[in-house]
Amino acid sequence: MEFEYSEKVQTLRARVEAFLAEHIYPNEEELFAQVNEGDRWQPVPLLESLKAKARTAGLWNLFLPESGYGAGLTNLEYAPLCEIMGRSPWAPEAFNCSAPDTGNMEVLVRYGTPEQRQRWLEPLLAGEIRSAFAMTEPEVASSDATNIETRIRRDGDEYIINGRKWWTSGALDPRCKIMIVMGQSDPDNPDRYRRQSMILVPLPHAGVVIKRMLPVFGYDEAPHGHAEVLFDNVRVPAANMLLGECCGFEIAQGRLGPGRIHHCMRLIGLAERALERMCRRTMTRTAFGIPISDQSVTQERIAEARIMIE
Amino acid sequence: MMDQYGNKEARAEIAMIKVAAPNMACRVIDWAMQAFGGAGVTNDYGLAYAYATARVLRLADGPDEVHRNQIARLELRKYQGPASLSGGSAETLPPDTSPGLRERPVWLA
Repeated sequence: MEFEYSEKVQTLRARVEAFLAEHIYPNEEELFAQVNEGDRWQPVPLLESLKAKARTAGLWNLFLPESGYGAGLTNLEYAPLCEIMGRSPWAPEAFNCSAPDTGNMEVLVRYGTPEQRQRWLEPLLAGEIRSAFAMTEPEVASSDATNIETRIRRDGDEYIINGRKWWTSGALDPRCKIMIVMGQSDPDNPDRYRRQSMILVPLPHAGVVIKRMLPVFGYDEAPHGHAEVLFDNVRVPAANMLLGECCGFEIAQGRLGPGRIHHCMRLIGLAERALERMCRRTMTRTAFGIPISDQSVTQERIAEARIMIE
Repeated sequence: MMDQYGNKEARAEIAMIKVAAPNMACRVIDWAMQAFGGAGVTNDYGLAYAYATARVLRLADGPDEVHRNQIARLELRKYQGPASLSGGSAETLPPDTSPGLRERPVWLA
């Protein structure tokens, strides 16, 4: 199959590529260095200035299909742009297109009330705050979301949330001001897919305890990070319920689709960059009298990598 | 698919790419690290961090196994109806109807 990019997408691709070349790649080392200075869990000043540049350049919120809030691109049009962003761990946030915010913004666009959108979606779109998505739990096999045990109990005009989550990405960032929490609101519902709800919890919040940071192969991914979070009698207004009680699975289907493919798009870019490095490295080094790039094992891997990426 | 029919209709495609992309990235980055030798596992070229990112995405947002199960379920669902139009019949044939056995070998006669 061949996908010919439209002129609009070709132009945007060139602009995103140019932005990475001019502002992201040359600054990667400095961005990591700024994280390592002092408190690792603070926003990175250089990244904030890059966000301002991307926004001014109109390279902002390029995801969000079918919505006046975004750049009006379809998923198919966004894919090649997201792919380029995936080449650097810093690029997606610079364009306000990073996980988990894109998925969470899609939830608010699709299922949020006007009040919820005004309070949380707008600052997210402006890149002023960040967000988290709390679904996975350490106590149960959360790959089957019907197992999720966190309780969301109605009490007058409020809901009370109790439970333990982990792999809540981004919760450690001080800019993270809103969390979408999945939990059981109707554990006795005969339909297993109607037991769960999703509810908005503003941060910081009484009863929400960030227990620890979870490293990934030793990387803490500061200041974003992945958190273990306890919910100890967390009370939020009933108006924070998303879409309605028992609609957790309906939202999950809408949210996880775009969030997932955004990750996949970025991974293609990440693999492209690794392949580029592999090619350049093997072309410049010689082992056993022959350039490594001319050895058949290397050529087979390069060819196989190109086939898999395509 | 997602653009034309929505995220729900595109769930098979989403599941397939969610299995394919992280595995592809892990393999390519792994080869790149191998090509770099010891330098590949340092922080100098970002490959180790890239591998961590790609590897965790075989778990995050649904592990490979869950997506594969869903892909298989959706695939199996396609074949609930009769196979007469698609030529995909897999029924056990009655004795002596197999084309190769019309003429019985002498030693069976």
